[in-house]
Amino acid sequence: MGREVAESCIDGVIIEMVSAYASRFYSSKPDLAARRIEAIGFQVGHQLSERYTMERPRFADHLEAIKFICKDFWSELFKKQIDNLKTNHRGTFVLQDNHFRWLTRISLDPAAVANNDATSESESGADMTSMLLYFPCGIIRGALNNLGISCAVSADMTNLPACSFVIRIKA
Amino acid sequence: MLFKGINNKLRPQSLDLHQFLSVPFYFLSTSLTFFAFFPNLSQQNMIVCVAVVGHQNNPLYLQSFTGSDDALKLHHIVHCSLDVIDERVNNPKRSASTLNETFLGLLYPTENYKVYGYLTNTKVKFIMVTTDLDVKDADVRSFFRKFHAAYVDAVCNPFHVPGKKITSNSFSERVGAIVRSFGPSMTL
Repeated sequence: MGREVAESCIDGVIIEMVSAYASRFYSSKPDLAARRIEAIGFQVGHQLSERYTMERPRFADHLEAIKFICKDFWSELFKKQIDNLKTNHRGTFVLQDNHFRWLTRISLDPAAVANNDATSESESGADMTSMLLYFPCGIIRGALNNLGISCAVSADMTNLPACSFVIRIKA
Repeated sequence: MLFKGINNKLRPQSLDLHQFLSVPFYFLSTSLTFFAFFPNLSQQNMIVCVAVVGHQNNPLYLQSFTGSDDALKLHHIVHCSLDVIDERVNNPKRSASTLNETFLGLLYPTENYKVYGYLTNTKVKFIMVTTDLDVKDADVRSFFRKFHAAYVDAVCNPFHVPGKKITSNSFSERVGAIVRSFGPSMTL
């Protein structure tokens, strides 16, 4: 059952989905749009984790599940592994990806960024990028939920091709 | 008496409607009683039912492959075997492998059923009940591998709501094909 799809199709679908939810469906309610995008990611992560955990032994604890996300799950989705994993051993994990694949096509308009007067445009650029990041947050949350770990995931994008995901496990 | 009536009439239009309809039923009832009295005539490795149970012990799929009147008994067997699975999971034996739990579950006291279980990484349990005396471990493992693949494909259906029952017809057909090919001839 291995049919393949071009990667540009995936990029196109995701970009269009985010822009449809953010600017067409819920244009006046950005947090509702963010929740819907994250819910879509949740279901996708749920189903993907079923598929990618098929042949492997069960995870003994949370750390092994997070390591699975960092290594196998990420490499199946993005053809690379997470570059840096940090934890405070009290339920918070920071996954850092130095070259996040879905953000490589994002370009913030340099004129708007440099121009201090048009602050709304630069804000909307950052908003649109953060909308885009709700989807992988949802994927991570869905995958961990299916493995029995309930958590909250947020993304942080300070410099653009690199982004980090913060996972807080609910005790 | 019905038979004599049928044989004497050469043209089907001459039969009464209820006589015409009752002929196949007559045959069917005799054949069913035949199989009920001689169960050993059925296939040697016969899977009686398969079930998929979610991580909160909610049933997601239950399919029986015998006559329909013992569906309730099969439900009960599957339910009891869930307790055994919970015991095994909560008292982990470090020497046993953690994923493939093929165990001789409940040997049902009166009727020689063997219950096998399989626990996925996402705490979904597959249960297989078979009326067989001599089942090889490798056969059961390969059965569960194929069943897991079919389950993953059914769950990835975007119209499937996680946590609700699996209603896909193609999943039922695939499971039926896997069950039919279960036996000592499986090489995978």
